[in-house]
Amino acid sequence: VVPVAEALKISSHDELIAAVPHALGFRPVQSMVCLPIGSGPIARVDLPASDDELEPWLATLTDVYLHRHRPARIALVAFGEDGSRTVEALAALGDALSAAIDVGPILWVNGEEWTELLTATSGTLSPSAQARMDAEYAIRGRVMPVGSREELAAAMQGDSRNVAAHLPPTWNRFRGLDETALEGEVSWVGARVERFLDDRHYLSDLDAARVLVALSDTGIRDGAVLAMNRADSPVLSELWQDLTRRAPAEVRDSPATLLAVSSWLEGNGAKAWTALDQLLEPNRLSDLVSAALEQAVDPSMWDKAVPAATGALMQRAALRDGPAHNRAPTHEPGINPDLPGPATGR
Amino acid sequence: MTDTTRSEDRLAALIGTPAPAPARSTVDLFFPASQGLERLGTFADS
Repeated sequence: VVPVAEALKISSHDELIAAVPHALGFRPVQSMVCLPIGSGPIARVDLPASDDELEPWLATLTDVYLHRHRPARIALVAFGEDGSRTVEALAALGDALSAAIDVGPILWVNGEEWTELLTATSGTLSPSAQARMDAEYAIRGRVMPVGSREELAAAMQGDSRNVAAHLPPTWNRFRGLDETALEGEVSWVGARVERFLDDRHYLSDLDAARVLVALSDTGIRDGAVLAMNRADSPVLSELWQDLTRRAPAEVRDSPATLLAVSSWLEGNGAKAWTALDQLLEPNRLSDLVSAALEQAVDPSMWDKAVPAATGALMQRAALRDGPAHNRAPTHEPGINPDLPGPATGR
Repeated sequence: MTDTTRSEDRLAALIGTPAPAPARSTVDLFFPASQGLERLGTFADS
């Protein structure tokens, strides 16, 4: 429970609307945004494109707020230029939720203009409210929201040529590691991640190639997953996003999967979905992240399920199970090392 | 049991027996961190 003194105080419709891009990390367009007051996840979803889409669209959101989470109160803010379609979606969602939840305010935002449907009041977004929200989030260390959801994907794509130049010798070295050396490699990857958590300096091209090749082993990749916790996840997302951005295609799925996990852990569903969209091939871990996102699983359960410290112990225990490349098929660049079928070990 | 199995089991345990979600549009869900001050704590109608 967040102490009241730490909760962000929203005192007007203007401030609520101005807070939305900060809460999402981007500026929504043609979107419904549901903001529980006090507890529960914030949701953003595209507005239904047609009447046929309305019922399944409502089912999606009532599943989240009536079945999986049950906030006491929720504000609805729809961003759209088409007044009739946007207001119809707002009214239908308000009706669907109001049987169990106190709903309001219900706001339609079109550019700088807003209309509140329950009170039939309207206004223009005030610059002072936007400035206050910008400041509130800035003093909490949050970066300014990007212009659109699409920009999240653009930030995950970059120039891979510098890292690619190091890959052939890195693959040769990795394949030549004996059991003892491979254990050392696992430890090095863990230490390199820890160092990033301390200094947040992005990896050199050589270190990036070495980490990416090591992470192509699903055992090492999943050791990195087990070491994650919610508190570290925002910084880890910086690391995995940077590696996803710089990784050649043959080794890119692993950091993208790790970015999906860390984004989900930090509570950022849009970034997690965007990371999953980067994958050339889904894998079992990415399928589980998709399921967690679709089923609105609260990531705070991750730390509760297994204390963070246990992650490191499990990682060490995993090493005692035997070296990863005794359990894994031989790696070839460009081949996803995940095996089909149930997760029964390799 | 390998570490792969453990990490997938850990996530699978959180999800539980998947109750099939309805066919849905992609919903972006945001869970504010426990110390995250973006959690909307109070609201007074203007």
